[in-house]
Amino acid sequence: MQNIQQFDRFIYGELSPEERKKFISRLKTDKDFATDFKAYILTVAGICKEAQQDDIEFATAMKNITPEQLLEIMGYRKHSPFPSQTYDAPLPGARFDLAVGYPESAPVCNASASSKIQEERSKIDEERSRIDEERSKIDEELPSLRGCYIDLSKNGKGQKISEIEAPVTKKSESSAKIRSAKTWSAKTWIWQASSIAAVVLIAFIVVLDFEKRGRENVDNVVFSFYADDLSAVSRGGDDTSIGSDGQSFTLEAYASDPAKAIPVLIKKYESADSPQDIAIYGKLLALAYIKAHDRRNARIVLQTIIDKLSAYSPDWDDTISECRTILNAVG
Amino acid sequence: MPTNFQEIANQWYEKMRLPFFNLMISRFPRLRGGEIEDIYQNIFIAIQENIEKGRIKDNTSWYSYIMTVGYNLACKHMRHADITDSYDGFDDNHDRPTTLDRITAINLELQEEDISLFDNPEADIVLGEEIARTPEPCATILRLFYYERMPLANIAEVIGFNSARSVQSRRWQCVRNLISPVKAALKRAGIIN
Repeated sequence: MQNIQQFDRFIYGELSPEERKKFISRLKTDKDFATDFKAYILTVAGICKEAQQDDIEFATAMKNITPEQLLEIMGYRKHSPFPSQTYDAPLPGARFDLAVGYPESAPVCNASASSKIQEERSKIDEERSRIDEERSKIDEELPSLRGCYIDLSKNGKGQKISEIEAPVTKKSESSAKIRSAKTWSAKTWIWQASSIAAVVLIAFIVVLDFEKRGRENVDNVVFSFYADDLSAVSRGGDDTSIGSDGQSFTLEAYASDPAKAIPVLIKKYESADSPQDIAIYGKLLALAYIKAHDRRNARIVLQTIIDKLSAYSPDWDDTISECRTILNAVG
Repeated sequence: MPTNFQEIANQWYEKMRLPFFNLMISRFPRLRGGEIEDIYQNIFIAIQENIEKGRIKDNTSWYSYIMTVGYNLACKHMRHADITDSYDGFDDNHDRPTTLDRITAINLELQEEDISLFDNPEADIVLGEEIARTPEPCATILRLFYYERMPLANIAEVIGFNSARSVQSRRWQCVRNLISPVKAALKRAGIIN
């Protein structure tokens, strides 16, 4: 073992000059050592010569076999190892280039092509032609919907489809595919936009509804709060009815549905000439509008009350202030 | 020894498959079996093409050549697939002096010292017979180490050993096992005393 290591180091020049000198002198003096070394070096040389002979044989073999024979050794292959280069089994005679793989148009099969490959190829060709025939039959039998339009103006009784194009060619088929892809893309976009718009609309409606409900709640609270003062209407009198000529109503009726009293109150308010009537009928009318959630008219009435009673200031300042408060609440 | 060229090529195709797959699995764990098979086939197609175009040097050691071309093709394939697996190149040792060159030089050197190593042409015949009997993996290890001058780590990869150290110890064992019968045969033939 130790000798083999030393022999290896010697032939590969890994011994130091001194070691090398000692080694050579030992070869001269030590007969067994010299015999071992000779056997070793003959063995190593034999291994190398044997391998060299193998290489020469392989090179000769590869030079002399045809590509078809090599294919027979390797077997059928479908794909190139490179993603960009996909090809069928190379045709006999086709030459491989590492840079580009097999050329698309390989040379025609020569006579020496193996019969096995030829048979397989002819079977595939037959199968392909059979599929093509069946496909063309189907194309003839079935009317192509592609390239047709609904001609309602000419015939509205069921025969609505009229062909305007010849049977679909490969080119039109591919362009139809592109159109279809574009349409699909547009449809997708429209669907997305519609969905977003719907969500926004729903959110908007919800917010609006919430706001409206909030406003209505404020109106109801304002009405409930200030309607309590309606008792002041009957203050000093037994009759709790308002109005005359069949248009009167009770305060209870007003409290339950003030909207019905609005026409009577408008007349009463317009005809009011005293500050007391202006204050009473004006407030009732404004509150009726508020209860009916008609803030615009309520604000107009309240503003006119303030304007009219301003002439009677400071005696009616409390009422004016109250009207301003209501006006702010529904402003 | 087969005389049919296709048979010789077929023997090489079969014997190189396992070492090549071992190397690919070791260097490119993400390569699939089908991809390795494709690369392996492309190597042989490329060899035939290159031989025909005269691109092959004399005395090319095919074992290293196949491994090197395969390694480069696998790298190319991985680059196309945007995968990086192996950063180490494959050492093909093409520029180093061969063992036979060294032995020839040593023979000349020792002749000056009056030591003769190759004095009998029958030695090659005896050696050839003994070497042909060498079992695997010894035959491959000895070939790769002495003829291909492949580093022990690479040998470990292609023959599926765990480490260079295990290859080294196995190599010593193989050499010893081979030298003993060679020595006996050479003695029988009267080539050595």
